[in-house]
Amino acid sequence: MESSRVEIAYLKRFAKWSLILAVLSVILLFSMGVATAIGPMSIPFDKALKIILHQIPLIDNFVPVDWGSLEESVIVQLRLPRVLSAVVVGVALSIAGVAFQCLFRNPMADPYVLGVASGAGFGAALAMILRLGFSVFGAVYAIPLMASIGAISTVFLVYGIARTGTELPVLRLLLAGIAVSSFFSALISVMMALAGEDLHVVYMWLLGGFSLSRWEYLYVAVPTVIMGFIILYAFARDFNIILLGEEQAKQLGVEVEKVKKSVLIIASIITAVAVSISGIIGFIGLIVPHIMRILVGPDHRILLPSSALAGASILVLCDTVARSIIRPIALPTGIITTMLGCPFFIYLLKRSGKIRI
Amino acid sequence: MVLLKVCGVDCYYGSVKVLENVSFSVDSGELVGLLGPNGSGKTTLLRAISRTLKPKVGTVLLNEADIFSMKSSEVAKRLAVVPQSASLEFEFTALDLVLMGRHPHMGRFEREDQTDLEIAKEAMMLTNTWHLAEKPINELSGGERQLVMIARALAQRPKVLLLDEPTSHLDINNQIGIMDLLKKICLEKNIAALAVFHDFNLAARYCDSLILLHKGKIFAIGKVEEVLTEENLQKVFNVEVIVRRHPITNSLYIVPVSPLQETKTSPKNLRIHVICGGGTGTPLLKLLYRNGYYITAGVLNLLDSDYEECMLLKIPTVSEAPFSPITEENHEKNLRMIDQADIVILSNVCFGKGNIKNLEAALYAVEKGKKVAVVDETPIHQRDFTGGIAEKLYAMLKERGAIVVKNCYEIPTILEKLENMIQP
Amino acid sequence: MMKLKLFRDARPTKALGILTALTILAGLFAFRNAPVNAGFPVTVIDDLGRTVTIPNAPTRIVCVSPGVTEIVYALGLGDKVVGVDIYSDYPPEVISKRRIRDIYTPDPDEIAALNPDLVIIYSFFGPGDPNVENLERLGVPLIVTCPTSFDDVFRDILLIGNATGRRVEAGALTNTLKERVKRVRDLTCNVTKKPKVYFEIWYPPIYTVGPGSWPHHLIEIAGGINIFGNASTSWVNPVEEEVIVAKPDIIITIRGMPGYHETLETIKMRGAGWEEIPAIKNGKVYSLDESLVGRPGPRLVDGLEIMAGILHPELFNVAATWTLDLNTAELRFSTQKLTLQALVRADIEVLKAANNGSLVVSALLSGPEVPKTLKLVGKYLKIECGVPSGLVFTLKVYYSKSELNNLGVSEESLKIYYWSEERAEWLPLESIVNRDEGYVKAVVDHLTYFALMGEAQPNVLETPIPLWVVLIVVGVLSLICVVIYIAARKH
Repeated sequence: MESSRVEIAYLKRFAKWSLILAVLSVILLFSMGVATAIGPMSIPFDKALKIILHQIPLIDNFVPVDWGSLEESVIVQLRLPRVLSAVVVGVALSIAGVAFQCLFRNPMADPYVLGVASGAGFGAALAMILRLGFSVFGAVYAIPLMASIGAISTVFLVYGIARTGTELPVLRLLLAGIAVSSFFSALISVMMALAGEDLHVVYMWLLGGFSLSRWEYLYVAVPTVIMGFIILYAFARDFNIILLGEEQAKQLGVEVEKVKKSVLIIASIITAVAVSISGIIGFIGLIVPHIMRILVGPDHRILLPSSALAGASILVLCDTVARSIIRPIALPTGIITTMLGCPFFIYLLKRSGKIRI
Repeated sequence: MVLLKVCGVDCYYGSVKVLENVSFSVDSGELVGLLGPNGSGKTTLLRAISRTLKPKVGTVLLNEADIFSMKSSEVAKRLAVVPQSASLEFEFTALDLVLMGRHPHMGRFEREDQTDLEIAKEAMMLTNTWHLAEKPINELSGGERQLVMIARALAQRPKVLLLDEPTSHLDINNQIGIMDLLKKICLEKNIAALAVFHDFNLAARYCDSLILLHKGKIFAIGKVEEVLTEENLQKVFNVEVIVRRHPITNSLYIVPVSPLQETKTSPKNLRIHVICGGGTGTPLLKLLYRNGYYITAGVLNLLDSDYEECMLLKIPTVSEAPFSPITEENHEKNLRMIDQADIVILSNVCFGKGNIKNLEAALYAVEKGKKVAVVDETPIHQRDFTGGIAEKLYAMLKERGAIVVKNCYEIPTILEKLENMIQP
Repeated sequence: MMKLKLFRDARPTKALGILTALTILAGLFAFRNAPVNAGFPVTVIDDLGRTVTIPNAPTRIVCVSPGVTEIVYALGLGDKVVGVDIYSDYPPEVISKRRIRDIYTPDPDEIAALNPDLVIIYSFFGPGDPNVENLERLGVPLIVTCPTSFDDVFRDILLIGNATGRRVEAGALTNTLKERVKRVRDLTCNVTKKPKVYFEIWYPPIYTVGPGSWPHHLIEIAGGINIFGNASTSWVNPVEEEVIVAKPDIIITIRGMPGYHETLETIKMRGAGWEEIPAIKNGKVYSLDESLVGRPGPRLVDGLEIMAGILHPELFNVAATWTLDLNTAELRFSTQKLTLQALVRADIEVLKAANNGSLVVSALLSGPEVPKTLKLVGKYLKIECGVPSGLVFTLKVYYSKSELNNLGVSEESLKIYYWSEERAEWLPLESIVNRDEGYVKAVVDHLTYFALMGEAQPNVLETPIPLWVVLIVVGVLSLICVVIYIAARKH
């Protein structure tokens, strides 16, 4: 049977998707390179690149060493973890945003809609103000640990409140999320009111930034986010169908309750991981999925990976701007993402019409 | 062969029983219609069959396999549901949507391949939507969308098709088109289809058999004529209808009448005999009926619309064979009826050789001393097709004391006066 | 006695005498009552330009800021203080005072409960501070301080002195402090090479100081360059790389922020280029108490001097500075040791401390004059601490026999002396001399200058000519005499 133009165009789309992802990957690598090369110590771009390549186990013999140990330390110990953290958090928030917007069939959903951010903030505030866990783990590990505990607890709380028997009604989840989120936000405010001199540290953490980045955090965060991405991608077609409505999705053979529960847990975990290492960075989880939907379409099989790549690139660039624009002060990255992102999104909206799911 | 079997299904929403002991089966190639008033459980039944709602009691068998023992995707390979028009606010193209029907057949990390595309294309060709393949779904009209949904259902290659009010939101041309298509698909592909209808006529025209649900139970099941009877419809829907067979399509059609709820005012003791025909009597009859008078009528031919109205209102009528002149026998019956009446009213009817005897009957009434009212909307010479006889008799009527009114709405007032005269 | 022939009649003279006596008595009487309330009511203008009238000499003062508390105590008004804020911890007597919980928004009710007649606060906000209106409602004289420089601090001291009737004391204190600051300024203004200083308040993430903060101010006056002096805020959050790129010569960490304790070792462990910083390579990491460098009060000048000594030891008479971070947890079970080497050989072993502070030990090239009867062995040691309460340590100063010999000091007379400010003289501490190991040990519980001194030995062998020369000369002379005697007897 001869294939018509339409069929050919459809089958070609898989190739088109691969091309899009390749381009986005290149953009991401380029952003990472630029970000690593920018910093108070001026290290030429090519040298920075060579230092990075030297770290990769198999290639290192091909790269002759012509830099000092100080430059290597700065690139590898200070800049690289920061850039990689931005990548990890960007990926995590973007794909969590896509997942929640699909699950709730609501364009206003973002990764923080179930209260993960408030829970994490409360945990972190406790750690910073009461010095909880400092003696056992040290400040460096106590804060993200307490933040993760806070975040995961919130998820379980919301989940438990919203559950009815075996089902997980989406509206109840949203409402429970709002309630729990507000509650923990209030608790954070209480802690900040009593913080005294620690107020500044807590406030800066809440605004979201990468000043605390270290390799140790990445050892936990990277595998978690990669796993999360793979699992969410496995459900990509199911996401497409769930958009039609839960009942229709069930009738098309999608195990809706199973998908809902798995996706919620996974997306919440990766959001918790992201918030634990970077504080509360807004805009990425809400707006990047919309931007990518306008650019690549609503099919989650391309939307998920492209949002991940785009979100990572955007966050890396925002972080670079945040720490370079008013030297020597390093602004919280969360401020930059919001300030740069919203006008850009408004521009996209005006050009392409209404906002859709 | 039986593809779908529902056995003794009870369904609950919370603690409220919504379906009770529902059992039926659907064969391959059969299109079964599901009817019932709002809240009778039609949608619930569909949800139970489509594995969305689990019945507390009873089973649903798909080709002898219990659907609840199968995985959702397994069921979806054999059973497809076409929902009522869904609001689709996103950028998927029609082809994307139809390809979603292939989901149950695809593995988790599989992509759509040539075969899937061909199946989708076939389904879309069948529903005549292939030319819309690359259009975004939210730019399609209601009818086109419904067709795409059907195509999607077909792409699932189901053996059983469930449709929830497939034509409710569509224009008349789309309705007919879709039903024709469904019928054709059922036969060609040996699919068993069960569709919920609100439109009796459509259901009657296309379905092989019908199920009538009432308060969660099956009220009637079987062939169309067996289920769509006036008593059934009156009991279930609480409405008076006339069920007729349409001369052209040869299918039953239902004409609803104003519901019985419009209760009469307290019955009056006057007996009125109405002489009419050709539709001129209908408003009069209705008026009199509403005002509670005991009415009789005559003589009316069988196919006359006034006769139909009398049948509806259960008015004792002297009837004559269609297109035949009034026989002497019937004329006598008419006169006897007039004897029994207190008042006689003559409507604005045309007179020809066939019914001139009715005018004579009116004259008889007036000579007998009965109060006679005549509705004289159009002048008699325009209604006289007897070559002058009617006009003469009419003049005599007026001479002998018949009350003339310009239109039938003046009658009630006259009647009241007459009432007082007859019964002080 | 000559009679005063003023009047012919004796009686007027008598009367005059009685009158004079009475007048004198009355004057004395009046004078006796006056001093307390002399000069009141007083009107002052505080740091926000508010005119405040104090009707009577205050006897119930509430201080809502540690700096204010220290100024008030320094003016000798400690017994008139009825309430302080929770951060005030110096002088140690302050511990018994009632506390005001919130220093940022003081609660008028809490303050009113203490029934004060003068309230002095520190305004974080500056002009337009809503707290001010809030507290004015009490109807009690309210003085608002808001200093941003040393001159402002001195102004505040005079202001408070005026307001409390301690004008004289305030003037004296201010003059001394001004002198000391001026001395530092004069010495550093001509300095050509200013060391780069990195002052850390918190890690991680890095919090450091910028223009507008006290530590920055101190660094500048003490002749250093704050590597974040070009920032636009007084608190700065840079990335770590900024510090590494700036290559500071000296790192000062703050002591007294709960949860923050960084030393040379811990900073080295940060890796990533921190070891390459000149300050780390040269071991120039010091810790200073927060109360000495962040509190606008008299001790800010102490902080300045310590910092000057760290930044420009050669100018300030300092041979070297060491800091020891006191750790009360450790001190519960054992002691903390600081070993001084190079220019001075001494050990300080801290036995007790009530607070986690920073002990600063400087070896000075000169100090208060040694009494005539004693000789100084080695160098002067100045030991300071921002939170001195409960501090007890042993000071061991090493000496060598040759040192003693050269100076002509007897070993038995060696004692560690401390300089007493009140008596302006060196006083001895109970000291134990360990001849075998060559040190003198004493237990100390206060902070001041210390020096090892001994009495000059009686001039037994106090000759500029070494003994052996004398013996040889005597021997040779004796030999010559014997030879002449024998020769003479032969004839």
